[in-house]
Amino acid sequence: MIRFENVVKRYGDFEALRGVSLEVAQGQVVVLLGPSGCGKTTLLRTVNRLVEPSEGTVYLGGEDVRRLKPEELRRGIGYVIQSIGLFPHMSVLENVLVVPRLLGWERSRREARAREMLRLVGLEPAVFASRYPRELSGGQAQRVGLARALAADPAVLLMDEPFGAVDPPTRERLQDEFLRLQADLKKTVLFVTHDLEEAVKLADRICLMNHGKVEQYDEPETLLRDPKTPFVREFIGPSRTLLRLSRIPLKGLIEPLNGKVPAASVPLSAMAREAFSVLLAQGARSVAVTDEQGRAVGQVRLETLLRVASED
Amino acid sequence: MLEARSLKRSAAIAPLVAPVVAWGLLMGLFAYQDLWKRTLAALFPNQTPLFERQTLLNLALEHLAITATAGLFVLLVGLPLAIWVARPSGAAFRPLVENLVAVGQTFPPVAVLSLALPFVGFGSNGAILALLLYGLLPVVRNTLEGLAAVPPDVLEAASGMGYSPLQRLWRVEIPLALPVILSGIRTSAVLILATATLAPLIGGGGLGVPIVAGLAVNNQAFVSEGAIAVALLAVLLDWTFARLEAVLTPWRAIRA
Ligand SMILES: Nc1ncnc2c1ncn2[C@@H]1O[C@H](COP(=O)(O)OP(=O)(O)OP(=O)(O)O)[C@@H](O)[C@H]1O
Ligand SMILES: [Mg+2]
Repeated sequence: MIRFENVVKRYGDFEALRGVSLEVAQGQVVVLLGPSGCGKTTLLRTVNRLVEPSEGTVYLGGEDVRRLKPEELRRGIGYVIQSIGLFPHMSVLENVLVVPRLLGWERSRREARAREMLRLVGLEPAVFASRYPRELSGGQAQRVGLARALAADPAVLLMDEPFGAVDPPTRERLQDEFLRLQADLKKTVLFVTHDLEEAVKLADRICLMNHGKVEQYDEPETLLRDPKTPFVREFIGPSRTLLRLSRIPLKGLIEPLNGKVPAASVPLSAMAREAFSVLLAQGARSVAVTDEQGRAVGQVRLETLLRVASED
Repeated sequence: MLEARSLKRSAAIAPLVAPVVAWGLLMGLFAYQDLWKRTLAALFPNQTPLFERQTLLNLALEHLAITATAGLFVLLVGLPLAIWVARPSGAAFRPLVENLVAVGQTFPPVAVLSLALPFVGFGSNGAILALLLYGLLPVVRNTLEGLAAVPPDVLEAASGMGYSPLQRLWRVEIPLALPVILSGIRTSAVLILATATLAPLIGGGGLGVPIVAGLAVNNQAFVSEGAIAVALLAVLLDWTFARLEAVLTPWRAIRA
């Protein structure tokens, strides 16, 4: 869906991108990860031509992005920037319907769509539609930014540290909601972060960058299990074991309860990491797994978790 | 839905009701010749108390007409000029324009008036031209300042959403610069209103007429009549613009 071909970006003598080639498949979430200044934002912005590459080509749906007028290209791409950038002089509703309006949608259709988008990101239109951005909390503003990017139903979403400006609990909630939305919407998403944990949680594939180059482009499991360069190994650091557990669903690790039910419990939908945290916190050796009704349906043992965490 | 929208709109312009009423009252006060006569007679017992060649209301209306015309020209010249030099296409002319409008204001208005005389002749037109030069600076400077102060992330978002450069200017940059632009217009309007008292020096009319006449014949009552009226107009004009700013930029208000 998005293809970068040997993209180079120079600012004077400085090379912000040093030949990036990358392919993002339709419906996938690809996370651009790497230290500050490595070129993530620059690479992202070549897609909607806010940055024009010095060399190389970016293809969107097989077509060179330079073949479209920038405005038209951008109206077809959802864009969420780190600092949110809501329009302060427009109400929340007006912010969300900016792109539909630019596309010339009829008034009733675009307003209905904007309300739907607000509901989708968890903001009740009756409460929020007529507010101005300055009357929102950071988390609410992030949601509006997401609703605005989704409003015209673009196939491609560019998200530059969209959850960067909020506190950790809010960030986690926004991440969960993003995953829930993405399961339905199946957008092609290019997502920038410098938070390894966020990348592992959200990505279908991670592109780890350093100094304007791709160090490794792989599924999170592969990246964590098999770092290809010293830089990747260093970047992932000692938390890789724990992070791998956060990609493994509990479902496959459950053993039958033989008689007694462990005191601590985790929901069936959780990841292995959650069970591990509970075990550590309780100092227990096994934890019960409960279904939606709260019934214990099995257990997961500490040994199992340790084994899958270190498996290669 | 429609009702709610028109309700919202009428609520939004409610702050303008008070200024409109105040303008009516002030005009009524100006029309009340007798009150002025008695008050000025009490203050200056030994002088002809009231300028009799023209009614005060007439003078005030003439004064407002000169101010409004000059103000309109300031907007017609100043806004496009400032917007143009703030864009990439006109950026090369920015220093030139900034300097010219600054010089226009540092020139003493009396000098501008007399220098303009040979070109525009005697009468209110010359005054309007001089006032135009004098009033440009606040509008141009504030417009440039307001446009420069639009947050970069908002500009980036606007481009990223797919606004064309011109759409971005109209729908994002100018609305966001509006508070600063309006305060420049307000400054300029009050400045023009006050400076317009010099118009009679080159044959123009307005509230400067009794002032100039009073100075010539050493009659403080005439001078006071004009000066008090101008001061009242200036205060009311300033306040009206403040209200207008609030109405035009509701997104800045803190709501209960
Ligand atoms: N317009 C510009 N002019 C000059 N240098 C630039 C410009 N934009 C970016 N750079 C440089 O390019 C490099 C990459 O910038 P970029 O914004 O892509 O980094 P990033 O990976 O997004 O970092 P962060 O995580 O801090 O946002 C940086 O060193 C930056 O200073
Ligand atoms: Mg960045």
